[in-house]
Amino acid sequence: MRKMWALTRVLLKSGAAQGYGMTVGASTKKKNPVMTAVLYIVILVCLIPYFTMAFTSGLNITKALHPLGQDQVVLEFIFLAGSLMTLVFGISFILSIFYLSTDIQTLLPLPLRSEEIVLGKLIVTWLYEVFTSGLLLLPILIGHGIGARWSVLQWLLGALTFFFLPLMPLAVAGIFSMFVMFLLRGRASRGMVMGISTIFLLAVVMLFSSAGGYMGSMSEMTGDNAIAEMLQNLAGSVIGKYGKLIPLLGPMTKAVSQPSILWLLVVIAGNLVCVGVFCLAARVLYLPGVLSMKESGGRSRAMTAAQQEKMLRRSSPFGACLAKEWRTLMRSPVFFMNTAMIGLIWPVFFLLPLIFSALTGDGESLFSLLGRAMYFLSEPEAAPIVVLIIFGVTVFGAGLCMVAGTAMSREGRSYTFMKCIPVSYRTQLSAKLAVGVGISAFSTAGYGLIAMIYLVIRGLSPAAIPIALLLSLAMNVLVGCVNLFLDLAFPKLNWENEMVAVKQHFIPIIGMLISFVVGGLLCAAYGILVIGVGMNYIVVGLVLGLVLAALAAGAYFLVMAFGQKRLSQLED
Amino acid sequence: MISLRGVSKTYDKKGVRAVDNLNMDIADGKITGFIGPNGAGKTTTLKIITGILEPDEGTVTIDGLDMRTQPLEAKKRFGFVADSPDSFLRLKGLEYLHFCASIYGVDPAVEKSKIADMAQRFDMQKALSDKISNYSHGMRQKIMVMGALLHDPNVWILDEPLTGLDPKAAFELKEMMREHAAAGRSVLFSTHVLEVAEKLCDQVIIINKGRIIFLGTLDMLREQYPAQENLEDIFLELISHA
Repeated sequence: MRKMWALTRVLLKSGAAQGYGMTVGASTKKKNPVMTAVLYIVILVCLIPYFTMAFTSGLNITKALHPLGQDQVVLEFIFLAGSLMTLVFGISFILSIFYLSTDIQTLLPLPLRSEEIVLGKLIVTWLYEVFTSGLLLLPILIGHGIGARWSVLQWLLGALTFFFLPLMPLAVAGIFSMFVMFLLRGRASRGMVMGISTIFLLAVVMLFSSAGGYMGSMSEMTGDNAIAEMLQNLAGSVIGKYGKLIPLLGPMTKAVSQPSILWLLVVIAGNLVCVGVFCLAARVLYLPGVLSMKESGGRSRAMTAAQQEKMLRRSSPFGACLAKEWRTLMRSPVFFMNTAMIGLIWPVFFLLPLIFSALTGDGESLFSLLGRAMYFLSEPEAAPIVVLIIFGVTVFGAGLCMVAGTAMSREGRSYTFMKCIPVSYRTQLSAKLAVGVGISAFSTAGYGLIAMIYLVIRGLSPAAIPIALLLSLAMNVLVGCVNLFLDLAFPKLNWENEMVAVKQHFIPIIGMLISFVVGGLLCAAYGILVIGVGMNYIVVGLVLGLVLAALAAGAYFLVMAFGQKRLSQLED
Repeated sequence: MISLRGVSKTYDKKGVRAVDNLNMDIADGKITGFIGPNGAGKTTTLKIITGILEPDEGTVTIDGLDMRTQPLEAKKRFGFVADSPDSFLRLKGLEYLHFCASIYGVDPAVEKSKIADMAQRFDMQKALSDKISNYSHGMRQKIMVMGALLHDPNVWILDEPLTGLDPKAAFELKEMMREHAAAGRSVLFSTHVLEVAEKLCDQVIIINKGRIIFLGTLDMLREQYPAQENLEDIFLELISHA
């Protein structure tokens, strides 16, 4: 055990913790304390809206349920959400940390037992999960505690229970991952493990999207009674259904709501038993899985002449940089899922709840609502509204697309390559921007164009198409430039794990907020002038589009000039 | 030909110089070994030569082209292998090589024949269709070497190029370095392995604490330290008095 604690301390302090989002002592480079403080303040300010919303939700829902004596439902919901999130995301996370992280090669030759290695890693992951779950769920829990007028003991028990919340799901995810890797021993390569991890994550995203349809149908209800009714339904269905997956859900809720130290001891004992099983499983399963993992996929086959010919077609330096950028983005599950996927498949997320609700029998009203909306939007006089919708979708979609906003950070330490090749920084940055703008334009203007062609066939004025496209494309370029500018100014280059470059990089969020605010104001301006004042939408759209295009052109030249200077100054 | 004149670089605000007033010429037709203890300034110097770092003072020229005023032209003249081969992991080996050929403007026919030749020398024919992330460390090193040399640069700059290479690949690379120098062109490589430097280099540069403490042929070095039996002893003697 002493070795395990020593390892845990080292993992927390070393760069290995970087993969968990904890960089305690990881960097030897001195950071500017003023910039660090400013960054933390900006992060805090950005999170305040969420914290406020989560806190008031916890408070108001607890108050609504209190008269019915059902306020512990909120507690159950928090514990269930925390447990399920940790469990489903934990599998992908554990696979990455137990089998793919770079420190494995260092740890395996050390005189450590397999359970000591994985338990050390599990503890570090647990602490990280406490932190991330805390960011998401603690505001709701605090709101609930205040709404339910908790005693001092309840606050104490609440904090302790929340601390233990992610441990069991992580241990279960660990056992499951080790079992999968044990079954795949001798066949699994690093690429395969990444693939498995991606499939798990995609499945989870789809599951949440489908569940979103269920929640969406409930959100049609309004008023306090309706909320109380909805949450009681949740208690009966969601918690009833999924609560069985989390055996400690009842004891955790009772420990805090009653309050009871005894139930807390049950929670702790349950977690310890689970960790014990995890250790036993690790002793049997971990080493066979990790030691037999192949470094390469073993596909090695010589290419045919035709394949080589196809791959070696002549391309310009810009084309080569563009292809490299595109391939790197599309082939990295972490990069793709965190920067581009939402933009590309958002229509699927829009359709899934519809299909889900149709399958459960609630779909008729949603489908008829959609039909009525399409009928209205295909009227010739709806053109100004269509342009506004496309522009609004662009503001939202371009803001969410993080491709340009992480283009520099995704290079990691390999950014030095950019500096020693005979290709101008402008060309390299243009390729990065082109991929980012291309994806966000496809996910906004592209889908918008398809929808508009459909609407024009049904009667919409064709003049709406060029106006909407001008607005959408100009906005995409402008947002892409702003995001690339921010990433060049504050790149996150020192990482071992790809997740750090995109998931633990806060600057793109600031870019997104800027895009939402500026875009929202422009949408409002268009709406007031066209719908409120009654001006011609073509004139307003054209003027706004040209202004945006001019701004985008200016932003492009600015980001290129800044980028060249920044790249030449960028050092290790 | 690489020339450095008065090159200095300071990393921290305390003013400690990572490299201090470097003056050296890496002549054509020679293999030059760059030797020094850890933290001596080898990698910093190579990064300054290749444009990754900007010197605070001094000039760097490659084949007479100033890195500050003609960076793109100068960069075309060298091929650089960095100390870590863990780059472009998502690309397939052949895609990476094609990327390198495209950015250096290599003629497609030349590209094809060079790839075939180097793949055969490094025993990488079957691996080219795999992603670099699936490669072992040594294979990654090989593909980085191939990418750096694909455009047939006049100057080779290699940072610890033999690390991780299997004996055959290491032998091939050393042979290629010899052939390159024999063709009247220059090779600059850093190494910690003194035996390699002793067997391979026409001249060595020894750097310590950011300053060059010796630049010349191995014979000149031996003449200066007749009491020492081999390069290792000479090196230790030099470092201890620097």
